[in-house]
Amino acid sequence: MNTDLDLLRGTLDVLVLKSLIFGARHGYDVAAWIFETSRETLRVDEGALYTSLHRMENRGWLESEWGMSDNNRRAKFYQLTAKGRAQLKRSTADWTRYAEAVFLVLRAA
Amino acid sequence: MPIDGIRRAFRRTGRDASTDVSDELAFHFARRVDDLVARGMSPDAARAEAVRAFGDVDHVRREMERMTRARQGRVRRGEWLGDLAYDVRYAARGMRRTWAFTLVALLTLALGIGATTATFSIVNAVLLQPLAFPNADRLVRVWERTDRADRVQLATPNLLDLKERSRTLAYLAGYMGGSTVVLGADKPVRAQAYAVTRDFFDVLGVRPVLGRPFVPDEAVENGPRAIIVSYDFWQRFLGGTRDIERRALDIYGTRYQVVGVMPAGFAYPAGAEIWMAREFGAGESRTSHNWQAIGRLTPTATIETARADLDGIMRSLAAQYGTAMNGSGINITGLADSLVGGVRRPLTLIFGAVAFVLLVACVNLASANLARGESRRQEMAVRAALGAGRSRLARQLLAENVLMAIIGGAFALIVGYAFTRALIWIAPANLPRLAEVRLDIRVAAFTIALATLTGVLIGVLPAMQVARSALRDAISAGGRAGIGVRRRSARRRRRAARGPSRVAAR
Repeated sequence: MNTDLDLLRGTLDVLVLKSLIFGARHGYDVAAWIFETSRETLRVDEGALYTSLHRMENRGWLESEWGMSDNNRRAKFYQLTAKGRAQLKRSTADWTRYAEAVFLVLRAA
Repeated sequence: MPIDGIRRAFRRTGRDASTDVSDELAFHFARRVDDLVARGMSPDAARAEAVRAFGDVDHVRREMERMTRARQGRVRRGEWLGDLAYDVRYAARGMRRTWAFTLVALLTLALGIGATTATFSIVNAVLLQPLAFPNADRLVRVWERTDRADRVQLATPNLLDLKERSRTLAYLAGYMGGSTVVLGADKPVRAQAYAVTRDFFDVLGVRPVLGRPFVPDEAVENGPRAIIVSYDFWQRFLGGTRDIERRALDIYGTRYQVVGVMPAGFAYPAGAEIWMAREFGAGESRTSHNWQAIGRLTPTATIETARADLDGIMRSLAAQYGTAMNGSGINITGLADSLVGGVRRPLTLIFGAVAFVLLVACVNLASANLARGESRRQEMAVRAALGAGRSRLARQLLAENVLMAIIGGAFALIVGYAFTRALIWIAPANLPRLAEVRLDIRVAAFTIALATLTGVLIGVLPAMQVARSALRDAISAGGRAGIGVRRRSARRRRRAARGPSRVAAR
């Protein structure tokens, strides 16, 4: 299954934050991780991904650093700040509550 | 602070935003193409697919650049504030070290700025603040001109005719009077009482806080006699009770019913406590000049159009009445001008003189600073050797002096308050608007601005001198010290310029 989902902006932000919980990644890696982890269901819109990264860096949720990627190219790595971690926790709670509510409605007999 | 500096040193804020974004996107596309080629796509097809998958690259690139620039701007502002905080702390240390000099300098500044503050508070209240009436810039004083004099009070029929025919005045009113004995209050008192024509309070745009304004009947001859009192008079002599309709006052044997109380602080003309509605018949003499007159311009009129308008009316009256009249024209000025016009020049002179004294104090402090600068060459040379640029050293010195002046300015507010009280006490009683003099927010803002300017004046010359000689010393001390000074990018120089602790931490 390989569906292109039109991800809502808010959803994209929380997924990107989550992808960085295990350490710094560059943008390409973030997209790849989300794709794999969602069992190849969520294909992130790449343009939206990079604007999301910059937007969250401006909000102080992420910070960035230039470094070498595994195949020795210069890449911009993003990592969570304390503020970003707190935001991830909040968004996760919100999303879980929302999804559960939608399920409750959809599964009503 | 040192940790911050290290982090800042490694952050790439100095790079051009568009280069940064290009590099980031280039990496992304390179990785995507690699992946696609690894899955068996031809390089050309892979490149096309990577671009297609990304979407509107140009739009995204512009968004990213915009956000990067915003971020860099914030970081730069943060660095600037950090530098400033450092300068201020460093300056405070220096001031404690040379406390005797600091004390004398602060005293000089407090007195100099304080005296200027005090005179400004008077200039502000008397010359700069608008009068305390609604749309006070519309208010004018009106006089007749005769062959003999420029400012003659209006004769009753002329006042009535001008009011009737004018197209440029919304209201015109006369007043006359002075100190009078008033009976019927809680005790017999002497008060400033004025007879006013019916438009008087409309001209000024102020209504009674208690009771009502005059009604037209009360102004005409043989009509009911009515009186309005000031807030202060009501409080002191009428018990401050709300049943004013039960009170009447006797003036020159005539009994007046109290109908209103004006708001606290309202006193026009200056010192007025009682206003009686009174007009005379049109049959009176046109050569008895009885009325001081004030008017309110219509929203579209100016003093010039009003002058032309009223002058024309006076000329046609003069033509009509011939020798029964001696006024030949009109004189009109803004009300504020007519009140304070006479003291504008002396007050400006005094203010200028005091400002000059402050300037002399500035020159004194600046020269003391220059002398001190010689003994600080060592310190400056060391900092220059460590890479502090000329502008950085100059800024440090400027910060020291501005800090000094601002602390001096804070003391000056206290000194200024005392001086202001003293000036009010010794000022001639006929100085207009004296009661309005106070240390308000505007005066405080003036003091703060003045203190900052003073600091810059004191600091800028020594800053230039010391910074220059420091660099010369550093360079002439030999190659070792010179290394740090030449050929450094502005950014690195700024970072290095934090002084010994900062540099040691790197």
